[in-house]
Amino acid sequence: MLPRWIWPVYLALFAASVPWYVPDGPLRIWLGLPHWVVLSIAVIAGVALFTVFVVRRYWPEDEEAAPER
Amino acid sequence: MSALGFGIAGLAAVLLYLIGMLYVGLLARRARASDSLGDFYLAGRGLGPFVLFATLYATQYSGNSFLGYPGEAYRIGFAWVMSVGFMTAIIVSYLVFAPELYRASRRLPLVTPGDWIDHRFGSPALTLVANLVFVAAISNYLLAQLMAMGHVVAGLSGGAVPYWVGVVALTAVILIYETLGGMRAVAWTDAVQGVLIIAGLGGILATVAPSPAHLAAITEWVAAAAPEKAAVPSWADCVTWGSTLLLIGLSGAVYPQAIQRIYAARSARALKRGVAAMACMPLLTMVPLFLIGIISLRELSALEGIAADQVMPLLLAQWASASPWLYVASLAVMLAVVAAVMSTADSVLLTLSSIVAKDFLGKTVLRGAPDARLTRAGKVSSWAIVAALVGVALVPRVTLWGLIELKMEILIQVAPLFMLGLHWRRLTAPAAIAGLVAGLAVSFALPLAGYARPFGVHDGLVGVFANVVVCGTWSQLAVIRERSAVSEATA
Repeated sequence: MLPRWIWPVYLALFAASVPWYVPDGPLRIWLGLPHWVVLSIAVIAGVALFTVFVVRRYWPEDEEAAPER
Repeated sequence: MSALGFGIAGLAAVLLYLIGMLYVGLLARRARASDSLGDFYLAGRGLGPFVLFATLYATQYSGNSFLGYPGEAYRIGFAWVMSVGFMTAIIVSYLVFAPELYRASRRLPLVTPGDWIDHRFGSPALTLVANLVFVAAISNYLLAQLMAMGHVVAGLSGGAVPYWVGVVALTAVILIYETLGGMRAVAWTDAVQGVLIIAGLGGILATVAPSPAHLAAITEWVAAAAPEKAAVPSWADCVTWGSTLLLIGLSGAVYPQAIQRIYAARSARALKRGVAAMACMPLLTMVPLFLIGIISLRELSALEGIAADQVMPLLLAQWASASPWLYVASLAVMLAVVAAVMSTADSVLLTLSSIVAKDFLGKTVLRGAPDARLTRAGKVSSWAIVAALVGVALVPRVTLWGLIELKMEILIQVAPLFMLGLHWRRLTAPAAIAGLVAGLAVSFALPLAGYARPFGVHDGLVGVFANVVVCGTWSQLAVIRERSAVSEATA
């Protein structure tokens, strides 16, 4: 089983990927896109990296024979 | 643009690709080890890291991704960046149950998702209801793919090849290679199709190649022409965004075809590598598709009232006529779109046929029949399912995104069976049935009663909340009843 502490981290990351905390205002462009779009993509990139870490570090590899080929 | 969008070379490329898929189907048939259900539907449980990743990828990214999603970005604007998040949420949701389910699949002869539900809960009624949900949801999904085939062919040939020819011809090819080689054929063709999709996305990036300055010009144009499409989403929009993350994330992970790929993994290591790679694919796939939708806002601004599903074919046709290099790049994208649609349709069809053969026929009229007979019944049922759905696809009435949302609202109701069922021993079969029925009832009742999407939250998500509450309460009541019975007996 994966450690329980990863779930609050995921919750925080996904919550941060939704721009509810970005104040409405004039258009601000980062890297050619509205800044809240760049923020969202950056946070999802963080989710992807964290997932690679979790899978590699915590997913057990204990093997059993397949029941049927 | 000539009458036949990509000309003779485009048509030849598609034909060559289709012949290649049929050849892979033949190779897969030669590689079969037996006529068992495990061999036909799970490729002998021997998918290695690359093929497993490719089949997960090609199955998850479908006609909806290539046609529906740029269309949604065109329709709603920058807020469609949420698609990158919800495709990532699907992979995160896998982590809730895939490690345990994989281990169970090594101990037990699981072929369909219903097999695990049967083993865990021992309730034929629950397995039947869950299977009906699976069939309803993925039939809808398959229908969306069949419609996408027609749109792709019609759009990319500039209307020279009619919609119905696309639906019928591509479906026939899928049926043939799938009947020949089962999951092995599907996974191997998915590997080819996955490579084509990645090459196509490279083609997209090479074609569009938006520099920050170019993108900034488009963003400013959108902000001036349609300010609501570039503005910071309102609080209500953010609630719907969060609701979409949960809805698609939870339901996308329990697609029966995705669950069967967990069973089909050769080893835990192969599955881990596949899932880790999949976590990065939304960034590499959805971001380019999102950008295409955004770019189309300006490029297709002269065309009023175009269907959102037609954005991608129209853009490709426009780029292909601009220069020889763009023609080649657009051709790669076009093949990728065809590959994406077919790779999802074949996986969904195979899963549907396995549920019909093993869980419906194998437990009723073919109870006790040998595997070879069930496998044959599954092949026949594939043809019957497709015949029925092609009939519906030839008279399309809803958009692709409409179909996707519809199936997700239903499919999410089976997520607790896997996500709670694997971790919470106290979840009983009666509680799970009550939860599932309550979830479905709430999901359907809300729109019927005129309260669709309360506070911007999807009906399916409200339904799954009711589902989990009923599961939890019912199971706890059973524990309390048990304890009081024990204390009465000992008193």
